[in-house]
Amino acid sequence: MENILLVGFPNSGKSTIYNLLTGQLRKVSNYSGVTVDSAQAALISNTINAKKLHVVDLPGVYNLIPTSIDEGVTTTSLLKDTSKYHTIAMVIDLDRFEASLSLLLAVKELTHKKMVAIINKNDHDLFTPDHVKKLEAKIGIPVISISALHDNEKDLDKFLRVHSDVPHMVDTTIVKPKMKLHTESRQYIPDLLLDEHFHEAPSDEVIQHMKNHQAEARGIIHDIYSHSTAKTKMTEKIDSIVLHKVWGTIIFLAIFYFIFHSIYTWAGPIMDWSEGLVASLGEFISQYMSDGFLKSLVIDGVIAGVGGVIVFLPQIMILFFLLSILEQSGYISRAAVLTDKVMSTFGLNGKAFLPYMSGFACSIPAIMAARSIPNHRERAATIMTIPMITCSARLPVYVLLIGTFIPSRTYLGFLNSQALAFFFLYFLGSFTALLVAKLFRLTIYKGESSNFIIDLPHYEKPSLLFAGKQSLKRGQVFLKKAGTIILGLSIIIWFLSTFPNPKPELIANQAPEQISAIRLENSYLGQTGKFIEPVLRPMGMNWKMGVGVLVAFGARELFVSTLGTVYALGDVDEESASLHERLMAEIDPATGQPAFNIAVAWSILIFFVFSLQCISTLAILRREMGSWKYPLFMFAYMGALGYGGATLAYQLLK
Amino acid sequence: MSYTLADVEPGSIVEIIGYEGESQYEFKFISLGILPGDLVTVQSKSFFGGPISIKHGEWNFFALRYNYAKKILVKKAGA
Ligand SMILES: Nc1nc2c(ncn2[C@@H]2O[C@H](COP(=O)(O)OP(=O)(O)OP(=O)(O)O)[C@@H](O)[C@H]2O)c(=O)[nH]1
Ligand SMILES: [Mg+2]
Repeated sequence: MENILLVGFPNSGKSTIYNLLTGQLRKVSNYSGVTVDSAQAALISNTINAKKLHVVDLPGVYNLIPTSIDEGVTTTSLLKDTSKYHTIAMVIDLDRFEASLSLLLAVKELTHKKMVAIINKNDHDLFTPDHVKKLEAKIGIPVISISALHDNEKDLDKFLRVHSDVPHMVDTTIVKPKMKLHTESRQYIPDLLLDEHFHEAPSDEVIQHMKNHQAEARGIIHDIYSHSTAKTKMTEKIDSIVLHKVWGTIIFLAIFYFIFHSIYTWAGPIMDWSEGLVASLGEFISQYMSDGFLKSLVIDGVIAGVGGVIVFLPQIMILFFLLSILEQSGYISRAAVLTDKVMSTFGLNGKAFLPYMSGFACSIPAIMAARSIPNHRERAATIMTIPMITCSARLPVYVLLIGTFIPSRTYLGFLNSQALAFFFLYFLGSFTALLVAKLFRLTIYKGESSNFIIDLPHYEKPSLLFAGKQSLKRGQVFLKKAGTIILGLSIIIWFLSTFPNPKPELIANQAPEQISAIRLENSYLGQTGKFIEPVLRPMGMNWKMGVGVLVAFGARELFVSTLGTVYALGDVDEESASLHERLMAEIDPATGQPAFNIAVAWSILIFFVFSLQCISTLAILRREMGSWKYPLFMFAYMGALGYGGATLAYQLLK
Repeated sequence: MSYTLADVEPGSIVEIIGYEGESQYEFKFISLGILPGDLVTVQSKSFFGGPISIKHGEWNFFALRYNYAKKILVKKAGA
């Protein structure tokens, strides 16, 4: 087995090439600094070739001298254990030709390893075979030019195989210099050793060295190639509107509103349809089963629990589809520019935008994405607030409650009240995240906010196919979660809410509707709920909602499945088939009024906006920050905000 | 007062002559391939001292924070 390292500038297309060669679906985005860890996979063509090649995708770097943890990963992979890999494939971004060629020169100077160069983003064949020959002659390394976006993997695959077969002559009489770096960079490469892997040098010397490479790269390119301007013109035109003082902000808000709006309006009909499907599945199965515990387990536990969650698949897929389109276009880095003033006001690095943005999908990759923030304190402030950004696991809860309790109205002809409520919840989470970050930056993570320069890549036409694939992939992840964790826990919840059997005297002489309610209240779950009810009361929740919230600390979607099971078991009138009909129908025995009202719905929503109900987030936080004190602290402060916020909302609205 | 990138009106083209302050600024610019002597066009500025977007050479686009732009010494192109 031979390993090939993919090394190159951020946004040069390394992950795209990796996906192309291996058939993986690693995250790709038109933004610098997307990949923050390394991954390795076998070439697809290994199945038909005797020689087994693997490629390794690495975080992009501007040079070998790391300024953050993710860049350190690449430097370490290159210099440490060089026996672990065979070839370095330098990925050169044709849109950033000079600077990425200078990185190649820097790597070449340090290594005895075999190298090849892949000129990527050659979409219009402007870099001709003739250019390839000239460049090969100049740098003495085999070159191929491709478009990872439009070409198939055949040529590149063949190129890598041919060159892996060529014997590599190492002239050991040539002593390669060690990399020189300044002291500040050492913190990012803890695994490399002074004098074995690198030398220290004053920063002037390091900078001068880089300048030489840049100048050399410029000279090489000047002799062989000049760039086309069509793509540049288009980018300039779009940017003059999108980054405009006034229009820029309006477009920014419009785009994000559009996303929430589409989640609502596009998913609505599909969701009605899938809810209907789940309900009729329940009815269909119930005809063929005799009454008893098994039937209840299947209908009330599995179908009401898991089915209640699965109906949100369309929303999840639409969200990821639209985010992928936005990412591919290159707009994300413009959004980072537009929001930078806000970020810096709250004491955050401009690089915090991408982690926050990924937080809309899921906190876990978002927390990892924060590795690209160099300063430890800024990184900590970012990481500690990311889970307040509304992730996709909250989506089912929001959709269920908003769809059920907020009447759909249209304002100004295009603003929809439900979409606005949705927008508000997302805004509330994000804004509070920033506020808390500021608080942290003024207290526990005090310090200067560092400066910021961001690459603005050329705009690209997004591929709908790729967006579709990404969204399918996320859909699969969601279904897998529903089919494993949520299924398992739904069954447990069914047991806990069905047993123990109530004492016979409790149900004697009661009407059948009453019996199911009494059974439920006397179950383990019911008893727990009743036990915690006093704590819930200020938030306006009854014990059923309380157990939903409690169980949701395992994973947020469980709120929906728990309510699904609990309400199916306690279902009185048997008329209402879907969960939201059951929620509307529930009557509070104490007041004779509906148990759910607008105040209760907002209280639950606000609780979900703030509190940290995700075990995986706590685990990843421990790993990234190296201590349990971070997850514990995060859990505590977010819980307090959730409880306080929900109480406030309920007391104000009731 | 030295003339810096932060003082340039949108639409004008300037030449970079050097960097002020700590070496980290210079480091970042050099690794992006922005060298002294290069021409830079200021594309747009935002309100309240938000980031400035620039075009470097013929086809590279960047945006930088205002404070960062203040560290970059420039002169009018051709002057
Ligand atoms: N036009 C064009 N775009 C490409 C090509 N290859 C990749 N891209 C796009 O370039 C962007 C960056 O691709 P990635 O694969 O994420 O880049 P990367 O090198 O892994 O970036 P980092 O992980 O940030 O270091 C994505 O939007 C890709 O769709 C290509 O051949 N032509
Ligand atoms: Mg990548």
